[in-house]
Amino acid sequence: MRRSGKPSAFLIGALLVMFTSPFATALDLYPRAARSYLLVRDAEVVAERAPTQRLPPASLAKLLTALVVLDSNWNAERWLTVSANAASTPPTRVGLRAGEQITAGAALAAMLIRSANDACRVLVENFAANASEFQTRMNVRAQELGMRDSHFVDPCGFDAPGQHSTVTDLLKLGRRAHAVPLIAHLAVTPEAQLITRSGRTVRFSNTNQLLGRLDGVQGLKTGYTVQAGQCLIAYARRAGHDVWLVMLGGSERWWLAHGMIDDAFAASNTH
Amino acid sequence: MKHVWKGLLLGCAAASLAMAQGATPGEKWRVKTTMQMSGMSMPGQSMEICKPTDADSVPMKTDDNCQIYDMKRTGNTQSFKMRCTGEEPVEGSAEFTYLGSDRYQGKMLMKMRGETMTMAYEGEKLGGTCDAGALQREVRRMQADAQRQQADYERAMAENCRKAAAEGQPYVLTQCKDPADIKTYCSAVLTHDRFGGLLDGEKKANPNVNFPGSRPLTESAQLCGFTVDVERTRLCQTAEANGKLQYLANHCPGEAQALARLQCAGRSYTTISDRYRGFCAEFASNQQEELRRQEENSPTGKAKGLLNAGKKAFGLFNN
Repeated sequence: MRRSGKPSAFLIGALLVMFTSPFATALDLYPRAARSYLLVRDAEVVAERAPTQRLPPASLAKLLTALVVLDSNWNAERWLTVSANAASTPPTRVGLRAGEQITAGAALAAMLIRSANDACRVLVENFAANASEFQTRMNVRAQELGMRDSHFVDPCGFDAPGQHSTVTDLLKLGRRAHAVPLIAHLAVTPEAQLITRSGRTVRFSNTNQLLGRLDGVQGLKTGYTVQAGQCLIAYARRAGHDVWLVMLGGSERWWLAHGMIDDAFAASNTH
Repeated sequence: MKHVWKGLLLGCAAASLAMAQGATPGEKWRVKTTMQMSGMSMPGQSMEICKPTDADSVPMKTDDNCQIYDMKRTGNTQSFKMRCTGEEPVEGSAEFTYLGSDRYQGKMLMKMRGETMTMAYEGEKLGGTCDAGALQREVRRMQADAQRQQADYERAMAENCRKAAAEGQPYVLTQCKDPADIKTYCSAVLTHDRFGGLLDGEKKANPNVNFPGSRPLTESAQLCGFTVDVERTRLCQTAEANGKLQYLANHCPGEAQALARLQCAGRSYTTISDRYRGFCAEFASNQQEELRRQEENSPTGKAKGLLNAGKKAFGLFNN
């Protein structure tokens, strides 16, 4: 009797985990949509693929960079100088020039709206003594958010050895970031312009192509690198329901994100 | 237990009414009641009632369904019978003995659904005067309230049915009987939006569950006398002209494929017209779901075919 007790307890425990885990029963409804994705309606996982697979996050990392910067004696009016290093950062860029000055608020807007790497570099260089310190702060912040399968190396999301995250972790990041009003506002801003201290105007538009095209969409961040493929954290709200889609290594990103989010809302209508 | 307590209360009410009805003023009595039924005994209850002076002169009606009759008085013994009709018919007979002018005891036997319940009463005069008609007025007020509430409920139900029928809501299937509502519902349900919703619901229905309302489309077809596939096809033919592209994408595979070739193939997400963006996105996600279904049903040797199918599906779109 004693011998049969332990397996039974284990089995019951396993069953409890199975029945209580929100990730236990979700189907991979869209098997070619992405290497990994997570589609969540309210608290329910509607569909998923490899939700804990570690993959490069590309520019989705900039949401974490934004949180770190906003936690660092943030002053949106502070003038920041564009270094030669920042000005020569690979695309996507808004075209900042070495020696120019822009406000921290403008840099944050360019980083989140246009996913601008030059603006991202400006922020990182001005809000930490060096890249290593910023990287450490990013990983500490990620741990605070419960992102246990993530490690960040490049604050702007360039592919780098050892840099990885999961759609499960990035959903936590997306939710936290969207809870910050400034980030939520920038995420739905279709286009903006910044004015340098010398008076030059730089216009840029949002990289999130769902804005204005998908009903209820409220951001949040796009990403792309050769290794990461098409990445996206999308959030939409309709009739009191929230839908989140996190996609890493995606293909046909916009078409499928649009369809998947519509599907998730349609599923909620039948409940 | 529900019936037992109902019987107990009915017994109390009957006894109370038997004593309370009649001229005002009355006198205060305390009545203790115990009940036995099916071998079990209920704890005693005590209540104060107002007994009218001439309580035993005529048979008395307690409510719409119950009547006290055959009331007799022989010396110190009073007896009567009670009959209730309706969903839970009750037959009862009671006998009470006055032990002086200020005390009585008695029993009432009641039969409900083949079970016999015995209620024992002990009455004690408390003294003082009271309004013997108060209880009856209260009962009448409660009856009037109940009738009013029932009428309100029926009006609300009728309104709900009219609204649900106009909107083609499956609520009609289980809650509404008015032929006019059924006719309205059957007309409303044969529209792209409602019919599409029912088709979606039918796809998601649990095959192991079957109860009224669990398969609204099948039940609607039976109620309204249409054939599901005939109506689905008919609505497919008019979907594009009516701008019901969501219906087309989800329920008309042939038409959707043809329209996707025409309107989605080679188009980018941002430059496509608003009219077709939702359709193309829905078509793309449906292609993904179809791939999943094929994957589930496919033996391992079909992996290559699946990959090709995936490429073909994506070939329709530019990001």
